[in-house]
Amino acid sequence: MSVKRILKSLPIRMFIPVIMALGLVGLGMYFFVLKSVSEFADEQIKESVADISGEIYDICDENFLDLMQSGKMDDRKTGVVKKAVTLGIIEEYARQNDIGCRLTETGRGELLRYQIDPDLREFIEAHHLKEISSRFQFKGRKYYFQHFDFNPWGWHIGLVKDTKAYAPLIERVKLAYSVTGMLLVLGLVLILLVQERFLRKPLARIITAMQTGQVPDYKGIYELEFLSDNISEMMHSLEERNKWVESLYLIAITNRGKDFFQLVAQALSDALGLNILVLRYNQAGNSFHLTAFSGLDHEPYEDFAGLPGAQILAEKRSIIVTSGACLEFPLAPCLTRINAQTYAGIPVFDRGEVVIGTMNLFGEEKHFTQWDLNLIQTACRMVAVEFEYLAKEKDKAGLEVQLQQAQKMEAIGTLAGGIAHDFNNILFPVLGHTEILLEDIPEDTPIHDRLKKIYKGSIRARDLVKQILTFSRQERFELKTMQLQPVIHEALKFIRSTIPTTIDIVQDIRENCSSVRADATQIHQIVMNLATNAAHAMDNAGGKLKVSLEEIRMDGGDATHLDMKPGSYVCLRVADTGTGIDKELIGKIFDPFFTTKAKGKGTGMGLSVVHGIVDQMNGSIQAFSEPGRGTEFKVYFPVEHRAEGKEMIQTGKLIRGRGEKILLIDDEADIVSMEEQVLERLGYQVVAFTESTKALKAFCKTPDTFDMIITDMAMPGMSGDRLAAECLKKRPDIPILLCTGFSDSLTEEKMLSQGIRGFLSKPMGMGELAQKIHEVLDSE
Amino acid sequence: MVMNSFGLVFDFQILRFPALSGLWKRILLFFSMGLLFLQTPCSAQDPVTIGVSLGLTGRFSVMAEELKNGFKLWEQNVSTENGLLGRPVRVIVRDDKSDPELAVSIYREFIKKEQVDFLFAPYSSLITAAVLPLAEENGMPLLIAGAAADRLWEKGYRNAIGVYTPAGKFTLGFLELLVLNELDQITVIYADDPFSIDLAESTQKWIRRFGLNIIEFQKIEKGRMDLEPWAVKTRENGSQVLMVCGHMNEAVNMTMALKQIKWRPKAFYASVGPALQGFYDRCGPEAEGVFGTSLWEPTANYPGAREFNEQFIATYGHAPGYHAGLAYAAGQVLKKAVDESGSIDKKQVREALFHMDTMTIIGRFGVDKKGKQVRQHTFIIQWRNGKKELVWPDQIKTAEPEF
Repeated sequence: MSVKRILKSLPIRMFIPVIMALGLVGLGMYFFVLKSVSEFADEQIKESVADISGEIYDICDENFLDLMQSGKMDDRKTGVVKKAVTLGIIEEYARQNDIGCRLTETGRGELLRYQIDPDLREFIEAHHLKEISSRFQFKGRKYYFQHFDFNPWGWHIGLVKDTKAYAPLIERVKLAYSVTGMLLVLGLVLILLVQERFLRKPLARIITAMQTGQVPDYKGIYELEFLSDNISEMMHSLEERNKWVESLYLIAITNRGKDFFQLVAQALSDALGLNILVLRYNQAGNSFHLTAFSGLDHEPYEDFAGLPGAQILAEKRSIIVTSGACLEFPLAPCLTRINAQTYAGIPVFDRGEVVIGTMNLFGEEKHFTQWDLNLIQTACRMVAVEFEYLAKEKDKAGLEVQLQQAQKMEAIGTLAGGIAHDFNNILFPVLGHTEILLEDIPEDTPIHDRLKKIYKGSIRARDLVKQILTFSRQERFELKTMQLQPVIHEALKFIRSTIPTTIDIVQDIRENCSSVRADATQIHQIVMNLATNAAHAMDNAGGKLKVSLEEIRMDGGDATHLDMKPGSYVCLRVADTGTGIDKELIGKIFDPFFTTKAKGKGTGMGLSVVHGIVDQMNGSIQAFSEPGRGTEFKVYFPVEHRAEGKEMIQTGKLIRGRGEKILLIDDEADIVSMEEQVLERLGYQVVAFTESTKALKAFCKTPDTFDMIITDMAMPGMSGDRLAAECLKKRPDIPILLCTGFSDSLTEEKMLSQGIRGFLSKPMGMGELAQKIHEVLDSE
Repeated sequence: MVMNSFGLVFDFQILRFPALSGLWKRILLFFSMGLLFLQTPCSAQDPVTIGVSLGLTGRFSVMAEELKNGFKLWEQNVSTENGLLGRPVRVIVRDDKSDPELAVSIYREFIKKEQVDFLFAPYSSLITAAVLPLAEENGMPLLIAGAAADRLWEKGYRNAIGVYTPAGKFTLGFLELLVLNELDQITVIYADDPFSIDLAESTQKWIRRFGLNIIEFQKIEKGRMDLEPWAVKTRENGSQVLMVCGHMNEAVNMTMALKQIKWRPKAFYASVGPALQGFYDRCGPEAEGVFGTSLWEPTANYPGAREFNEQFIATYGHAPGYHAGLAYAAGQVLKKAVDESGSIDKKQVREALFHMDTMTIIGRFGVDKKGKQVRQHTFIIQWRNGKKELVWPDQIKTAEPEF
């Protein structure tokens, strides 16, 4: 055993200070009392010697007086006898008082010496003390000496008293202290033995048991037995708690997702003897969803309605009721069904202290200990971490799918772009020639009517291509101040062709709605997606697809609820009379890839894309659904009050040229031919080429002879933008209009920055072309 | 008829009382037998025993015989006077042949074997000094009536109780007489026994205090018969006074030595021997004029002294010496102490002895804390015309001293 341990041991800690204190007190008292006794003895001896001196003087005086009164003062013999008798009395007195006495008479020397040996006498004579009384030491013994004279007889009397008279007293005090000391030591030994027997050994037994991991089972002294039992109970409790901690740890490292939640709930239920409901809060749907449960004999479904989830959410604090819980929350079937007395609703916080769920415990009356609360908090923390983990995993998976989808869409877009280009090139001459023919043939002829149908079919074909491009996100995206009505109309036209005729489309598009800042293509996609979903919800059974557009005013309360600013909004409603969406699913519908449709019928991206687009436009979307009765989406777009530049001039009459000379280039001969005819009809001179390099050469020869260049974009040899660039080098002020069936590399801004004055997507109608040429020429 | 310890007398005739029925008779008989058992057995009648050894034979026989007579007379008287606390008294006297060792063995037997209640000291300071440690060891108070050496009380014994004045004061009266008669040239001869030595040394001390002169201070062997050389020396050194410190033998031998040289100093003092009638009996006319110290004289008129004297003469046919008086006084002191303590417990009796202040036939009794007698006084006698005259103290003297 190390010295340090010994010093720290109980007996040393307890008894050394006591022994030291007692020792010090004992020593202090020993010396103090001895000194006091010694001083007392000295004083007593001194007083005694003084008293005896007085007495002896009185003896002398009395005898001298007798002699005087006898009338024989002059009788020498009588005087001698009297003196001798007096000496005898003095000696007797000294003997009775056990005091050394020496009497000398002037001229006769020493007449009496009692209890003073020759050595002491010599010492006294040698050091004869002038003081009346004095103290001295001789041969290791202390003496008191007092002397006086009895002058009538010429006597000098010295008295010597040693301290031996008080030695027994001092010895007795020492003995008493020795005995006391021994008794103290014996007492301490006894205490040590008792302490060893009744304290240290039992404690050692308890400690040894604890050190070896066993439960102490000491029986005996009440206090120690109490301690042992408590430690035992504590160890049992710790073991029990460790078991639950280990259990939770095991669950945490070996399980994920639903299993994890279920096992946590199970463990908590087993540990606390309560029923457990783990609910997750869905922010989008502002509702709680069951994540896991334990202790109940069946899944609670909606039983958790009536629990104070909203209160926990709002107050961000636990609600604990230890008795009468079912009365406290009478609307909670899960509590009332089992007549629950105890309820604890504990918020599950994420890292940002946002409530993302609740842990609900209920059952028979129970008072929660700190350990219980700690365990619940631990479980809540674990659940929170798992919630967050799953959310991140889901986001990650969603991103991956989005990426895949994007790649897929990109591939489709590339394909679609290529198809659209070719299709536009095919469609463009058809559309162009049809328009020429429509101009040439009188309207009241059957051919004109058929040509018109061809024209409409061509237009629809063009729109279809446009939809394909939009779908594949190849369509250019830019927010402009615009009216939504035309786009919605157009989209509805398109949707009409794609949904079953059993579905009746009811439109209520208010033409007085203000402009919003939006992208036509994306507005189109919103309508398409919402309408398609609505159609799917109605599917074979048919129903009504109601699409409406109106401008509304949103005040503070409503705006806040939708996380929007108060103000005017254009509200697009798309409602159906389909199957509706379950309440618990309504919060998930905007999640990417969430779908209730059969495989192949939906990607789960539709509403997610809509939600994203609306967000980009600073709008908001709400879903209302009632299973069996249908669903309604409300999309809010903030009204844009700013005017957007120059308004497009829309007239029914074609704008015609004044003989301006146009260099026309397109690698498609049919298109060049058709466009050449159209431009000439519009009053322009046309120099047409099917090869851009030749066209460039021709331009370079006489650049000033041309008033404008209309060029296709995608051409072999030299693309339209490069051609434009070369021409602009030659003549920077030459107006250039770029026509293309599809372009992913040039944006309007880029073209404008290169000096290209206008842009048209093929196939365009004659009017559109005339308008654009007019704009480009006017932009000089 | 039976007497129980309460002095009640039962007549067994009562058991034949005709009026009592058989049952009552039995009951009465039962209680009567019980009362019989209440009687203290013969132990209540056991005498209080007091042991003493004396040199009844040997050199101290004369003084020892006197002591014995004194003890026995007291034993007789005290037993007659209801004893000690109602118990008779028995003084067991053994002869130690004046031998200290024998005396010690006798006392050991008294204490251990016979378990006597009290002890009287033997005669002579020599033998008493030998016995004292034994008494001390056994906590037995020892009443000393036959020893006077001062040294007996200088060893710190707590059980040595002197009945009479120790030797240190024996010569005080004689020296006073010398001063008053202007005799100051003194020769002191002393035997080498404790009593004699103490007596001589104290005499020497007092001589100085009285302003007298010692011409010679000479020690002689105890028991020496021929003291003529010292007598001659005294004559030749011009001493006026010869003081012999010793017992009877020394007194007689020096008296006879002076007779031999036909010389007498102006004053001849022979300690305690002259106080006894035996001195005169042995010295005859030579005893005339010899001074001595007596511890008791009937003429001193102390309470009971005269009665004792008469009783003693009546009992033993001669006048008591002071030794007899001392022995008797020792008994008186013991009785007084037992009466005062109300017990025969040795410790209680010892305590009473140490605190008593009482009168005996030899005068006042009172000891200091060492047990040394301090209240009793001595007398100086002088043989004159075949008669022991009391010459000091002055107040009770029967004759003027003659030198």
